[in-house]
Amino acid sequence: MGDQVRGTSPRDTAHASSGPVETRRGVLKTLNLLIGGAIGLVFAIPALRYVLFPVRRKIVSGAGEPVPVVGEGEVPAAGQPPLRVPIVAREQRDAWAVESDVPQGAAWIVRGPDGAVRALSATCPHLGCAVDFDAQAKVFRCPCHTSAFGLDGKRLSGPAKRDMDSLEVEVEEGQVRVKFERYKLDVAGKEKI
Amino acid sequence: MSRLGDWLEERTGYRRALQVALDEPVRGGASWAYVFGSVLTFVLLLQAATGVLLALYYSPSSQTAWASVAYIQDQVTLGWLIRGLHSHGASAMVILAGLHMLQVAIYGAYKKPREVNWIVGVLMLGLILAFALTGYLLPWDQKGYWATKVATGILGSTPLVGGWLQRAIQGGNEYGNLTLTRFYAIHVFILPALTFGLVAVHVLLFRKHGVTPKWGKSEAELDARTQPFWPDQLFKDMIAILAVALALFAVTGATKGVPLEAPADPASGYDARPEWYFLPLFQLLKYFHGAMEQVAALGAPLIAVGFLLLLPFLDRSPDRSPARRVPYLAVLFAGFIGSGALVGLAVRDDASDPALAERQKEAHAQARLARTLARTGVPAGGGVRLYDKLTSPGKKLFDEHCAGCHVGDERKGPEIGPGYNSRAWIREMLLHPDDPRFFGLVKAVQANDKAKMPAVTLAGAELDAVVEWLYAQTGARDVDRAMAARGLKLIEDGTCSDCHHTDGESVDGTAPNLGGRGSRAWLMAFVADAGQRRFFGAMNEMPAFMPRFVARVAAAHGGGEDEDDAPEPPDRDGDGEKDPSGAPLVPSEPEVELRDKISAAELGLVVDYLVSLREGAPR
Repeated sequence: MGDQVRGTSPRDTAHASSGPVETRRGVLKTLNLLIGGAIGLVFAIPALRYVLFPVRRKIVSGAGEPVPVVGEGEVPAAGQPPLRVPIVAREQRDAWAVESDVPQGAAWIVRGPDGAVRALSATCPHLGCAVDFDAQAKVFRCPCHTSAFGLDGKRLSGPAKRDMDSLEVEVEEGQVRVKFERYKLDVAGKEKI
Repeated sequence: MSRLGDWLEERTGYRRALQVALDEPVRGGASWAYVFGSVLTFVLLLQAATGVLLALYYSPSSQTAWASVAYIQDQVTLGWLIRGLHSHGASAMVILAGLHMLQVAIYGAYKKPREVNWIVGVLMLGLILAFALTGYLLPWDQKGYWATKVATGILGSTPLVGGWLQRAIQGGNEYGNLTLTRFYAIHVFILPALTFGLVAVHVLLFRKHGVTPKWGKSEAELDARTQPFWPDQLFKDMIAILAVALALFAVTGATKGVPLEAPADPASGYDARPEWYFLPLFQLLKYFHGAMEQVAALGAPLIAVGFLLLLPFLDRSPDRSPARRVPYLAVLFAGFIGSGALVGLAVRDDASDPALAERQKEAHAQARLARTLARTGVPAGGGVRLYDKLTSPGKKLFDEHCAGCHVGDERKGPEIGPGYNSRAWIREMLLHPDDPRFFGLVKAVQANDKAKMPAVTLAGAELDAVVEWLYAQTGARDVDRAMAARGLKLIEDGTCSDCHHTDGESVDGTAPNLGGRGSRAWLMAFVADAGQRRFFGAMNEMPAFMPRFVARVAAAHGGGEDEDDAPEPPDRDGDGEKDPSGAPLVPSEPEVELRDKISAAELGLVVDYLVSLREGAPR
């Protein structure tokens, strides 16, 4: 830029025709750009570090532990319409805040043919919409892009690249506990975020 | 590169634009006197940049404002630096605007035809102060909250429209969420828009009229020494900008940013002090009382602004030599010096007030405490709710499990609160055992006179001695041993021992064994199960909070307290064998039924709290 923008006002050129003045102005231009660039850099580096602070940190952290969602007796029998339960973290850190009883997401609770209780994340593995249950067809359906999944969470049709994400389940003292996790969307594999 | 430039030039004309922007003839040559405008522009851009950065983390509501600023200050990488630069940058704006104004005044640059540009400049000075005032409140800390309350209070004292104006600015009858959203919107949208608009007008008018060279030079002289803005004047500007930038970084680094006081607490007191550039007005208000106070608070700024706005129309002679304009410059300088003197007086007043220093020290300690607590998260209720974290876990458990029966009017047992098991409490209990504070509300006592403890009839030194012995049982250290020994003798020789044992072990008394009463171990066992025979036995009405703990202690002590007089644990098998470990079998049947209400760790915390009550009022 420095060599393209020159002082070209008539009075200036009249006085700047001599060599030494031209040289001096050339030096001043270079110094201006150097000092300006240095000030910009000195400010930009801390600014960038400040802006990128959240990138590699867990800013929002749920309990990360299984939370009770329903009594074992209330889980429908195998083949029956599943039960949708909210998963509420006892304590959540969110940047500066710490809050109690914060909803993390939802899960569908089903009982497998073997009688075991399973939990399927209600977050569609395609693009994250909330998966519904179609009671007539007895399949899970995503209302956004029509992915469909069987009662066991197996992918039946639609754009989803994998089955519904199963969540960790514990049954203890008659209570079903589910550990909520989020997984990377729209990929074939189940990768924790 | 050049071809790309040509391509772009053809489509945008950027070179021409740059040329117009930079190639300005500076008549009379570049000068250090002209740097202030450029430096102000630089700091203004720095304020805009740091302001946007702060907005990335700031949240304007009365619950989140302080918490988010504390997050910026103490947790976000270099947040303290960005916030410090923004705050010190505001001070730099005020200083530089003052210097700029003085330079323009000395050079007579407000004179015809530049009057409008001077007026625009005065308006921008007002905007800078409005930025400072609105920004001061945004952290919602004690300092900003209380100082801004004073400012809006002054506004509210305006004749006729004051109350209306105050409610409009603060968004309602009191400070709250709407005050913050309003101040935030004013600070980040309205004032910047006005400022950049006025800066554009200011610069365009400046370019229209050119610099005002030093007085007393002929046209020919000036023309002969004309230099271009780029690079000659800009180099001087750049050096000044570098100096200011370095100073800002140095000051911010040396002060480790700006302080953040404790979260705004309307219930507390705080010595409100405005930012230094408002101290002249702050100090002025100390000298005016009654009706004159309003006159001073609103009148002084009005007079100052009025004088500045009118200056180009008062000083109308074309002669720019300062020597010929002494009266006008004298008034201006008197204003600056007077303001400086008031700042000095305000600082001196505060520095010579030891009580204030003490209060400020406390305020800073409070701020440190709040910021330490905030590191583990601020509750949804906002910064002031942080102090709830200080409530001990034992107190929380007590409130949850015990307070229903032991605190308040609905209680069913003795009142337990600060002073529990202190000397005074023991004395009162001995003299009035049937008082509602003690056993008056216990059903067994109400129903059955035999269950009542007769009031102690001792007095004077004898009563003191009995109290001292009971107090010694709690494990307190400040005990007069000789007196306690006399007390024990009185108990053993008198009627107390008809019902009470004092050894802490015997279980065949008709009332609780007094040995170790109120000590940590005693409280653990009592809360675990007050129905044990060395306590209330069959008279007990208090739920057992940890019956399994009692069983476990019993096992650990090889048979437990009932060892001496209770039958051996039943030998269920009938084979007469003992546990292989050699210890007597602990009955297994009750354990199945027993259900602990609290864990051993929780029991310990509750007892810690109960013990701490003896000392007075714990958290």
